[in-house]
Amino acid sequence: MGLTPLAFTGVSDFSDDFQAILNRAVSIARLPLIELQNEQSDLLTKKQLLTELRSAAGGLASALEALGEAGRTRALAASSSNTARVTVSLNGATQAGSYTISEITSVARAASETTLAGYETPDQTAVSSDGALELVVGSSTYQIDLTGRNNLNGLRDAINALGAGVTATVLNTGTGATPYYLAVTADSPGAQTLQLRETAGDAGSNLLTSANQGANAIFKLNGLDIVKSGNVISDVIPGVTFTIVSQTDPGEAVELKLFSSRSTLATKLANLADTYNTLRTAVNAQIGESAGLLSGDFLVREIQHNLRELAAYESSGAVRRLADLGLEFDEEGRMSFNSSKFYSLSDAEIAAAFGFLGTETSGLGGLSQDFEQLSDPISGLIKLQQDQYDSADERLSRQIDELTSRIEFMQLSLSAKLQQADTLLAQLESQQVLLEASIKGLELALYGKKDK
Amino acid sequence: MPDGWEEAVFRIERATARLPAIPPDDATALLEAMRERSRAIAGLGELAAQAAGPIPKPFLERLEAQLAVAPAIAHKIRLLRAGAQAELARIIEAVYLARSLGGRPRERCLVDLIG
Repeated sequence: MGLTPLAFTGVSDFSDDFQAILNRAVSIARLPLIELQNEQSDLLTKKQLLTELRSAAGGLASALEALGEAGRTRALAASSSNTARVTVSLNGATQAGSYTISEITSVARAASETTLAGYETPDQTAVSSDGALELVVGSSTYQIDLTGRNNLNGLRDAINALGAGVTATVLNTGTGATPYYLAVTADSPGAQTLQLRETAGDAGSNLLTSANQGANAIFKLNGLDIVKSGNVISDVIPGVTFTIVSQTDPGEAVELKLFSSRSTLATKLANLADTYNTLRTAVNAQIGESAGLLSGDFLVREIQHNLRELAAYESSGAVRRLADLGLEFDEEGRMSFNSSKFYSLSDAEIAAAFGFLGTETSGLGGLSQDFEQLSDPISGLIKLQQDQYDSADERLSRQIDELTSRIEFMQLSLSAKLQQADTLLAQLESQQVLLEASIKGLELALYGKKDK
Repeated sequence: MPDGWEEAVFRIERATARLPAIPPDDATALLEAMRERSRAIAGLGELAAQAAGPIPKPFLERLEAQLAVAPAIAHKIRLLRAGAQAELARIIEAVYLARSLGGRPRERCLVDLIG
């Protein structure tokens, strides 16, 4: 017999109770989940906003630091009249100047020789009659014992293990019966003796060629003779590094100039305006009626304070404030760089500007420290705040995991209830079949006999 | 009339009467009560098979009343089932939401929706 559904028309207390229990359980699980979701979403947004602020504050700090460096170095730039002969770069120079390089008669190169004779194999053919050789590198000598490895590969390995400032390699010319050679090359340029002697102390027993014993850079600087083992020279002109590239023609001279560069300074000032505006925009987004989630955060107030200090910065002298350098503010507080005004400044005013800019730790440039204190990726205040948010995020994740486990348990419990309901229905149906059969049998016994 | 009739019918009536009184979330008690009802009906079946004489009509009427109450019981169980199924759907939604928040790898669904 099938069960007839919906014959029961009353409102069931049974089902109502059950529904109430279910609703309460689900609500308990769901409400914290939504709260956690909102909290996590807010945290993510805050972290993103802080990342933007940190980047913007870092940009402004870098711009100010660059201006401080320009003040300290007087915005020096370096140039070479012929970069095919000599290139030049600044390495801390603070004074303008001009230098002449001439008579480059030699460009430094590393010593490099190969064995005079080739060898049949790299790992079998003996390279020494008694397995003992002597390597000479400049004024140093090294004894080589080839016992158990008297062949090219063994010699190569022995030389490379000496730490003698040379590197040995095995060459394969692929020609003739003895195609294998050993090449020995100095690790740094400069003229120096490079020999591999069969007999210690006997230069006549050298196994290497004498074709390239290296060379020094030889030239004149302002008429003074200079010999250097390398081409990159940073110990002749204080704060300047120059590189000898090629020999000069007879009578040729190369001019190296160190000068205060207005364009360099202008670029840095324009960058200050850009980075200032970027940070200001990011901060303003967290202020006012439509402020973001960082509204009221102390970091926002701190950055606002620092920006105001920067905008109002004043010094003494011919250049006293930002406007004197062409850095102007509009009605909304946006900074812009008036290059026309900057380039119209006199040399004396430019010189005064360097004092205004100060250094990386003083003057206008010194303000970079205020912003670095905020933006430092390791110890900055913004990073510390981000770390706190990360901790909160981890805590939230743990709570969400716990809640997830609880909800999954509820899922299992509800599934079990479904199965139990099915079992109950099956049992009820079975009961009906049996009960109905019993009643029919009893009716037959009762009425069938009565009819008779 | 055999002595066991009264007791057999009474056992069915008592088991049936217990069902609405059991808290709906106490599935164990529900199942036990239903099993008790099954045993009572089985006992009746055995008595009916052995019946040699006529059965008093009031007993038949009481049994028919037990037969008639079944749709109401079934309806309650179906309501219970439907409620559980609806909540299960919402719970599964919450499970996916929770998993997405927690960043845990998506696991195989533990439960199949039944019915």
